[in-house]
Amino acid sequence: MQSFIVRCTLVFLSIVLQFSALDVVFPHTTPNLLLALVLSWTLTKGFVWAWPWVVALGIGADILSLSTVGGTALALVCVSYAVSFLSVRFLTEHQGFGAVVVIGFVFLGTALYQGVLMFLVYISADMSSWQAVRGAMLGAWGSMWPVAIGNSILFFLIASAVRKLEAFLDFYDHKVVVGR
Amino acid sequence: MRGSTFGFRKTKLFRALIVVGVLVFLISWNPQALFSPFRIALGTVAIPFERFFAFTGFRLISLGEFLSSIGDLKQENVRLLEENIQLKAEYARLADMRRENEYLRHELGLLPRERFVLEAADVIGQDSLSAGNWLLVNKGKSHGLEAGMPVIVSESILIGRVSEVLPFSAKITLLTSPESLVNAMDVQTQAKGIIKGQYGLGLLLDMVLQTDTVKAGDDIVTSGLGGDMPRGLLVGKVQETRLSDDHLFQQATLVSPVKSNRLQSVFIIKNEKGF
Repeated sequence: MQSFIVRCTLVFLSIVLQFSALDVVFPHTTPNLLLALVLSWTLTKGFVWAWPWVVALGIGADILSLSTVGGTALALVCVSYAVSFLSVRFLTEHQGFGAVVVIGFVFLGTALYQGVLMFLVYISADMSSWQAVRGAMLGAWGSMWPVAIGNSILFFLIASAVRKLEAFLDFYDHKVVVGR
Repeated sequence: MRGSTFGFRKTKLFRALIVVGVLVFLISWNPQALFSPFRIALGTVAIPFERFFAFTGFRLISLGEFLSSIGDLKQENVRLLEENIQLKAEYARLADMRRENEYLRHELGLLPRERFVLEAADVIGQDSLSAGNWLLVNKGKSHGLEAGMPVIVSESILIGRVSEVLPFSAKITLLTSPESLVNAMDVQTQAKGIIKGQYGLGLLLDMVLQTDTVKAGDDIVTSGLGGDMPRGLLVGKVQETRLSDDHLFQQATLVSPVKSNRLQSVFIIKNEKGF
């Protein structure tokens, strides 16, 4: 139960921090804390464990930003699955290049996240404003590289903290079960 | 066969497909009413945290700008002294222009800011992750805010409209959002049109008749047509004009004098005094 509360708090604070601080400090190329957290969870514990928290994170973000519920969650789930799928192969085959492969996952995750969101904009857009939609897509593509670099830095800042926190929570949960 | 079916159900792909399916269903259904209580609860709980983080964010920006400007302080000081002398002269000239401006505002039907009943609000969140183009402010239904109210900054510059209201917070959809449509007119030529958001990229004055004149540098204000927006709120300046794709109307790209991602506080127009 305590682990659940800790993770809920982590989800809540990440969403609030994303929309109220990171978006203010880095308005044009905002690093995506939600994406970094999802990648940390997925690479640490795998998609099968992470998906309920990924969905909670996405839906929480949509609820708090008063947006259509499901969009962010869908993008994050796609990222989590793709990274989980690829990490099984690449991280075991290229252990010497772990950090480089992980940066590759962050770039892939950033591209996939923006791609899914842009696809949702595209299918919901009024085709009379197609030029504006196209402009927004090109703008998102253009800003992807600095955003991906920001995401990589953010990922390395939080990944070890998340890994340690999850290890502690696993240890704590295990201790509680054994204690009973 | 039966075994392989059960085996597939345990795979990552199967779970992912189920989750994606449910989320796609949610997006297409978009049950606003279902999530409304969650929005109110989560929005209310989040406000103190959002205020703290947003305040810290703005402080960090100020600190960064201050630190980066230390080297230029001496030059800046000399420049400001010169500017001060110029401004004193300018002040005398503007006092006369103010009287003229008041007369012109009266003639054009433009509203001075004092005419509005305003609610000041702090920006506590904003979105740059998607094409949402919104701000979140720390005032809501309990402060008398309603959906549709115009939102301005400084001297009656329109930046958007209240789109959703929670008890203690509200979402402001910016003019650059594709969901934003505002009736507007050219101050210099009286040409009328509709301002549309360009997915965060800018503003477009559309549906201007070919017989009307719109040129670069003209000021665009709200026309008040439709009655949902006061007349005379400044939106921006015309940057360039062109024909629409179907060649039936003129279009003009506008430049807003306000950078919405740097706003710390805004004013919501609740009413016009004397209405």
